[in-house]
Amino acid sequence: MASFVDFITMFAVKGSSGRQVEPVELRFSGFRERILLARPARALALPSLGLGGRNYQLCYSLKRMNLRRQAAKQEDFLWSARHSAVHHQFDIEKGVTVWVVASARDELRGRIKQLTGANGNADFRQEDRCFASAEESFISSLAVHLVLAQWATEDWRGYIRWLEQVLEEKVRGDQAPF
Amino acid sequence: MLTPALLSQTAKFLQASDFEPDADNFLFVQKKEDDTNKAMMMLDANVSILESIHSFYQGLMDVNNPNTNFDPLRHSSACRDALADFALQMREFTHDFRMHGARARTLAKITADRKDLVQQKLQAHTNSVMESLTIQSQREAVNMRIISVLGFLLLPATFVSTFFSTDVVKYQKDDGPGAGGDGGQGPRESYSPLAMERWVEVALPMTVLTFAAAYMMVYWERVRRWTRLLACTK
Repeated sequence: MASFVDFITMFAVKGSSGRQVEPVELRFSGFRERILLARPARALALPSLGLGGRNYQLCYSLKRMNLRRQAAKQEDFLWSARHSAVHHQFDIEKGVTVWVVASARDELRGRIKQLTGANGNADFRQEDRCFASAEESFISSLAVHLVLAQWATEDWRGYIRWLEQVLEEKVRGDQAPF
Repeated sequence: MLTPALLSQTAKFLQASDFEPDADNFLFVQKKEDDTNKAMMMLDANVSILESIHSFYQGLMDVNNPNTNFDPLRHSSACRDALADFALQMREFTHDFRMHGARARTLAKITADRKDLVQQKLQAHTNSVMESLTIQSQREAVNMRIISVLGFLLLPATFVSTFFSTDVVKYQKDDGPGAGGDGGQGPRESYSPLAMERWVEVALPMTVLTFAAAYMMVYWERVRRWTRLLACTK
């Protein structure tokens, strides 16, 4: 899926001078879908890899805030925005799924491994790491989307609470009129 | 419910007269307001993406949709159950993002209002400083006027005493050697035409020079103003 390049390029935005102006292009986000399920197969078929040529593809990006550094004073806390760019392909013939997930740090990879890997956390649902049939693969792929969504929801509450607190503190001054 | 609480809070805030906001404070608030708006944007983006994923899978699994051919999986009951579960959780996450977005929106609104308040306080503070400055300068202007009136009143007398302290006219006891025979008659007035001539010779050119210098200054100022005006109109 060619438009995934757009999602990857969010991670490094360079100005005209070649200097990195912002670490992550915050304002870009998007969702792309491509369904090639009709018979006969229209997509790339690679029987040696188990790809039958009938698949659907998804591309999207999610954003979250991350507390990078705590400090003694609350207003000195350092937060940073984090991005993830996701490409997912599901081939219906044998249920081969392809995931390309780009994110800063390795945390997302670790989580997905825990969920779907053979040596993952045994506390998670067993059905999310079964890939024997197309059906099982599909159910597992839904779980990965949920992990990504879960990752994106984290820390928002803390961030907004922090914003509320520092703003209140600043506007009211030393005395506490509220 | 929120409105009366906010109203009472802002009222108290207005009464806290010893709170003097500074420019740093203001900048900080502005920055955090920007951050809040950015957070709102990111949350909205996440909401729309999760909704897109959700509706994509709904469309994919829709048995009556002729455009997708997701057979046989869309007829599998296990898949349908998994999708129902997935939809439920996605809705939860979407709701989370919406809730945070609404909270951020409220915060942005409150911040904007409070920023106005801080700005007004800042303005009021500046105004009172300006007012006291104006009163002070008015007082100084009155003093200066008194001094200049006094100086003006004394001007003729000053001129006369300066002139009479030169050697043009002299009043002295006439007991010098050149006094001749009629001495002992008290102070005598002596007029020196030479001193008068020198005085006029020096004083007149100096006066002319002073006037010329003053005129030159005025002229330069005028030329400078004209060139600036011309540069502006270009």
